Amino acid sequence: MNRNENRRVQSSLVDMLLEEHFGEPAVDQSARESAAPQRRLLAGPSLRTHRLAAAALALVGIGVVVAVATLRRGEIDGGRTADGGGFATRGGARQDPAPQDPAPRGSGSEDAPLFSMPWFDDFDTAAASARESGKDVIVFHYFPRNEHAFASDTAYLERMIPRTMRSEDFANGIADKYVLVVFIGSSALAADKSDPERYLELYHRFINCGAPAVLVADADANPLAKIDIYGGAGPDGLPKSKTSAEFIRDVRLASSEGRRLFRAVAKAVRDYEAAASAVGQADGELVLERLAEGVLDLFQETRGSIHRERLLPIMLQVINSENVVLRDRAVLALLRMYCVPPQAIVKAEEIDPENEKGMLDLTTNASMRVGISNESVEHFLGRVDRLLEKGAKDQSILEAVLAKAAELALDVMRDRKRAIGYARQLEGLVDDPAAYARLLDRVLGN
Amino acid sequence: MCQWAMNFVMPAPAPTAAAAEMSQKDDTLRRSSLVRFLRWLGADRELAADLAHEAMLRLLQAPPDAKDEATVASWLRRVARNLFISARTRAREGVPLDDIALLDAAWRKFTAEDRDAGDARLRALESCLGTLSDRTRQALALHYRHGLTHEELASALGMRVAGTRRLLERARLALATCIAAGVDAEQRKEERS
Repeated sequence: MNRNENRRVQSSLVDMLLEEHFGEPAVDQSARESAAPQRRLLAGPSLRTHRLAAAALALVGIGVVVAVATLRRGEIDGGRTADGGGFATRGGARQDPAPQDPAPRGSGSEDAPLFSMPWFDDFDTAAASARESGKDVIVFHYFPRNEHAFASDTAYLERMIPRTMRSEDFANGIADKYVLVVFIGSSALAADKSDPERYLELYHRFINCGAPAVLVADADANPLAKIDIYGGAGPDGLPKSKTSAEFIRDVRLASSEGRRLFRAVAKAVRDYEAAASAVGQADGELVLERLAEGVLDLFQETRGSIHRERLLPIMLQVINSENVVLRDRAVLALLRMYCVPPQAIVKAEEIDPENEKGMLDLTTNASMRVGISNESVEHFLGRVDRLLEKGAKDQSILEAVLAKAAELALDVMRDRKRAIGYARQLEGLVDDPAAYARLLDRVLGN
Repeated sequence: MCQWAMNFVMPAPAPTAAAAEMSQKDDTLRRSSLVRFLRWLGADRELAADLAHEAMLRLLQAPPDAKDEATVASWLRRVARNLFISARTRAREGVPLDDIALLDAAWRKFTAEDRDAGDARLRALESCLGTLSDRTRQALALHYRHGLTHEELASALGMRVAGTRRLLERARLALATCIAAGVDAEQRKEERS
């Protein structure tokens, strides 16, 4: 190793040690004292190790240092710092006084808010602030590290957020409409909270939207929209990050559409429940059916949105409806959900035992989509056998189902004969002969 | 979130006889050394933990023939490095990722021939930081603790970007010298006692 190489290696090792040494962000007392006292930044002990806290404090730190340096140089001009940074303004939001009217000397000093985007670590405090100013709340919802296992999601979110938020565009684009809160979701944390019951209520409300997630909620803690944090790539193909502009655009679009759907769903649920309680009165059933139709339409529209779960109880009522058309529509809609309620599968088999309407195709396919544990393999294979016995309506469904059945029969049931039986039935159905040959080789033990 | 779809448990791989032989202490030291090694290569905390776990699993599933600690540790580092390269993560600047011999030699030196996971150097770093100027310590804290980029650091400290790079590089090299001296002194002290 030559001298230069050695220096580079030594430097990289110290770089790693420094990261580890500073890696647990301690709350910078001076930065906290300099920040606006009425604002609650990420200061809770449970969040101290969080990179978001580091990012937020970094911005405070930049603000402090820039403001102090700027004041020393006497370069305050119109409330903006000399480098054009947007964080040293009074009152939280960015202000641009007229250039002829220089800001007072105290602007950006210790008693002025230096950071225009406060982050809260308590939802209700954030919501109170949002309510006062007529804003919505952006909730960054995580699991604590090492809980629920999806470390790559959390890590990605942690990387994305500081990159996205560390820009003036972000502050300017978001601050006028939203208050930001970081919500670390875990029932284990409830005991540390001042109001554990309220925390758990929020936890269950947000976790229903999936986590980690960026949610837009109103000040009453109703989730309005879930932002696609992966830029369409999914957690396995994480993009570098969203730009601030992309993020702001997504938030605005999703929250306006989410608010519309939220209102529509709330009205549909309210009307349906009121009508259901009035059944027995004149035309009660007709009113209920009409409303159920509306719910069904709305259910289709909420596909992929966080509001769908709220319509689920009504949908499960509708599958027991006397109206055959409505019932079948509801069952089909439920079977097409990613996570299929078991009631829908039971109902589908009840209403189409001979697979004349193709319900058995859908229920078998749906069982496969929900996921198959070792314990439920036999049940799934039984369903496949039944589908084969009754005759599938949709050959493309049959292809996927048989391939899965062959693998499970071999790998879990250790029943080679049965696996060969499924694989043989695939012949002539498959689009990919090479994949079929591989499967056949496997089940034949070649 | 659908509750009825959350009942699936991944089966844990069955431990082999080699796993049973491995003492808990060795396992902990190997794992923490691997995590730090991967952090040096440039993996973030989660990736380092995941890849170290993967490397340890491979050790259980298909251990190397030789059982002496130096060979096993070196084998684990090779696996970890390959996993890191497969993860397509950018390597830390200055890490000789393409030169496995150099990489391994540097790490063996860093861990005193795998006797610790670099903890002695981390301890030495803490005392060495006290020898730096306030300004340098402030720059290090802003960069490493708060994650400021060189550009942000330059803005915060009223310096040029190149100046902050030089400041941090000088600080790292000064710390490297101080840490090496501190570790040597500690070793001599241990030997005397």
